Amino acid sequence: MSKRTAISHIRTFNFRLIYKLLGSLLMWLSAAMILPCAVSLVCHDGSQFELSISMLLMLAAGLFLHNIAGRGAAYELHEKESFWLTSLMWLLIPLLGAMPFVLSGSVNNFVDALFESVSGFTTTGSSILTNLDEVPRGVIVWRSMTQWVGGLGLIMFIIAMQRRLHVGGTHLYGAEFSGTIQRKLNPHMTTSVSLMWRVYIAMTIGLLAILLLTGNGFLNAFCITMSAVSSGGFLPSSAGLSDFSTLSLGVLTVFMLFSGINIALLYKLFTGHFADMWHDEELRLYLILFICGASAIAVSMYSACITLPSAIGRACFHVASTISTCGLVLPADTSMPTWPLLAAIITLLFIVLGASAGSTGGGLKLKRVMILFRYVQNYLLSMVHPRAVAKVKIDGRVISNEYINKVFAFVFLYMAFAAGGTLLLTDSGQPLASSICLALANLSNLGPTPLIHIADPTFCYTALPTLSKCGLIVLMLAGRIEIFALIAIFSPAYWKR
Amino acid sequence: MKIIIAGDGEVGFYLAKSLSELNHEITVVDPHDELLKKLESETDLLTITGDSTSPKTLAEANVDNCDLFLSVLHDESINLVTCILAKKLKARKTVARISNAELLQPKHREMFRDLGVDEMVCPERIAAKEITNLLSNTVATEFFDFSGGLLTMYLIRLEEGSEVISRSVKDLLATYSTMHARIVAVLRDSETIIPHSEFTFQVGDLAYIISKPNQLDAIKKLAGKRDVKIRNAMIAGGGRIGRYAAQTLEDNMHITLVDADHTRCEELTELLNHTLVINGDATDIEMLKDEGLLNNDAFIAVTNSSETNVLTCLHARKLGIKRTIALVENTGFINISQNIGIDTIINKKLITASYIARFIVKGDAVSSKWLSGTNAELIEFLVGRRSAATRHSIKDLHLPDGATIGGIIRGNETILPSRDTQLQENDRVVVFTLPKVMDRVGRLFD
Repeated sequence: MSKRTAISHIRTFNFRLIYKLLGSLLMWLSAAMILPCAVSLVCHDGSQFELSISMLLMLAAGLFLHNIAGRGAAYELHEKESFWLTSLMWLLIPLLGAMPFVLSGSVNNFVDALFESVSGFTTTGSSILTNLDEVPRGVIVWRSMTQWVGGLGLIMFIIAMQRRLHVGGTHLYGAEFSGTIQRKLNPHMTTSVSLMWRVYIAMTIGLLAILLLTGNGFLNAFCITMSAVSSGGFLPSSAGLSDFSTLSLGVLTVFMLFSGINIALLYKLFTGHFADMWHDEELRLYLILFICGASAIAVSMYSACITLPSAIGRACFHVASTISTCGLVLPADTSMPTWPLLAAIITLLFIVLGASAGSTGGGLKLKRVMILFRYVQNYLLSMVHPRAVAKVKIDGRVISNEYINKVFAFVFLYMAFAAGGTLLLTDSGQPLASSICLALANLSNLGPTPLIHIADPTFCYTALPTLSKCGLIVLMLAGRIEIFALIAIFSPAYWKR
Repeated sequence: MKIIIAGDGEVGFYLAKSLSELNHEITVVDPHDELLKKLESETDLLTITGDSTSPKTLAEANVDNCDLFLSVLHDESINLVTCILAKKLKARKTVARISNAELLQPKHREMFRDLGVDEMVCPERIAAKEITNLLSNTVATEFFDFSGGLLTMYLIRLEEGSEVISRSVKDLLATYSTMHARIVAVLRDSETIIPHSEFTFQVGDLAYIISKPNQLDAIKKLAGKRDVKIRNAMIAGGGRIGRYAAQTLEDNMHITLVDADHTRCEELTELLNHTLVINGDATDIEMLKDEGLLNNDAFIAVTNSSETNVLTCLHARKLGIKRTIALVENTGFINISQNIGIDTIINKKLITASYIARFIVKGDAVSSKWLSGTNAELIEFLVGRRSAATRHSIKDLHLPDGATIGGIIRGNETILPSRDTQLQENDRVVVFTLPKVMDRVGRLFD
């Protein structure tokens, strides 16, 4: 009898709902593809046919999953399914999103297309495309849009769209942002997430408007906006940012900095709760790091023979781009042939630290670093005062030991992935220094950084062996979904009954 | 004055006893029958056994006819409900004892007034404030500001080397005629003396000194004291007093807080930001030494046990800690503790009573301070229109024995009165008085 009751408590895995949610996401994405198709038609770049096919394929897949595979799904979602959905989605969506690259012939093989697509959705911005000006504009627009969709996270899209999920939304949120704790903006998960989307959209429209007003062409402004607010980093043309005015670059610096701030805090900025913002310790650290880093790099650039105003401007842009893990890169300054060592070291440090928790950026996240730092502080204190009772506190709130353990686990996994990635890249013939930079830049979803070219000035991703490309794809995905969700579905314990 | 006290223990009984000695009509409402019987046998008052949140009990206590309703149970929510009920049942003024200092914030004041709670008193908060004051002023054993600091009362122990030892009041008045401070009373061997002109001072006297602002340096010299700057302090006992004290002090000095209960220590780490919280028993002096007791300038013992507080303070004193403060709940201990060398005693009951007394004294008492170690009181009166006090100069007022005028605040000016000073309407007068003549003094200013 006991056996029967035991079995009846095991719920069946709710695959249907997962298919249904995936399907709906695909249908939304196919709707989003209308824009690249339209651009393609207007620009006569000859890719409208391929883009339309991709769109229809996505729609068909979406319809199939939503209406046939996911028919009659019960709206009940638990933690286990949430991990599965998160991982499955981050594999399937980039797969379908890679189609325009393959069909339009912009890349040579499927792995390259997948690399480009994953790099977009994970807001990394590492690009395999060597000659951007030959790629059809429609495909370029799609490539930019993938970053924007991935910026807040695909899960956030589902939560905002599926009001019927209720508490399932919370599980989903937990699965994608396994490392961040923060108070919801609203008692309803769906509403909280919608508010975040509003902030994100407002930022996007704001930056786009300013870039257009400061005299940039629409396509350029649109693509750069997508890259900046999502902390992506794709450039739309080989000219890059060279035809941007100083004013536009200043605005970009500010918005990149914004993209590395916790969106819930940005919401407070928009609603005028400035005090709440200033009381946030993570934000303060973020700004302090930005100012210190920018000053140090400005000084080291100035001593490497760049004029002072240019050094300050470049340093601010570079640090904002790095700390928010955005990865937009200014065209190289000819008067500075190599990067000063100090600047390179600071950059590497910032790549690892990453942006604020709850932002579009990647990396270890400052909140985790603060927690670890304070934990170590307390540990040292307990060596001097064995009877001392001390807790890790952030913003005056105690961080539970359980959460600290999670942070340690995360940092361990992060380091393990970084080490594994480095190993794989050195094995494929990259110098050690650039292997480390590449692995960290992709794991932190930073993407392009001047650091990559220090050891090997002619480096480009296209030349990497397929295995290394696949390795980098895994790093990008792991960095984006904060590793746990990816690890969870591959661990035997997850599938055990 | 008709006063109802709702209580469930010591604070209520202490208030009841001290107030009934002042000839007020006291009714005590308390759930404990046995304790009430004992109280009634010792003191002349009416007791009602029952729950203070029951309207029927309150009606029995004639709440509609009372001038002041004090609810001083341990549970603040009962106190608040009791006060709200009492106010609705036509009590004139209600005072609730609370334990959560958050409610005292000025922005909540209006809300509680609307509900029917006129005043709130948080003994733990006041005790903690007393501790912070004492640490910022290490010369005085006690001190108290009147009218926002225009006049200050200090209680100072006269040390060897003080300039006033073996001199008479008359002599001193001649030498220090320009000094803006005055000794109004002396506590010698548990006896309160209001010094007459032939009185001479001795080492070990506790002198109550009334002074104008910024006279502390001169007073220090007078009393033979040296100032100590407190940079590190250790607090034993992480109850509410310890916690509030640490909270107010931790930004300005390095605080070590010791508590024996591990769970409480964890709570404290959540509440405090820069304080080092140690889990350990305060009676274990070796442990305290391990945790750096000797590096501290001050030791504050505020555990639940008065005995522990007194003993650890004595020990700390012996080890050379410059400043010690002990929480002593047992009023009988107070005199003896001061005699054996502990700097300062704080007592929650006295503090609460001090605070509440300002609502009781006849006449327009603005603030008052009950002094520890003596039953005397310092009261600040507002001189009323047509009050008897304005008619003559001080020497002709016939102030009763056991009362003396310490200082006068007229507008923003402070006057230390001579025998010929004439009081005026709206003066604020600080009077040092013994309880037996308090009523007569009050009538003088009414």
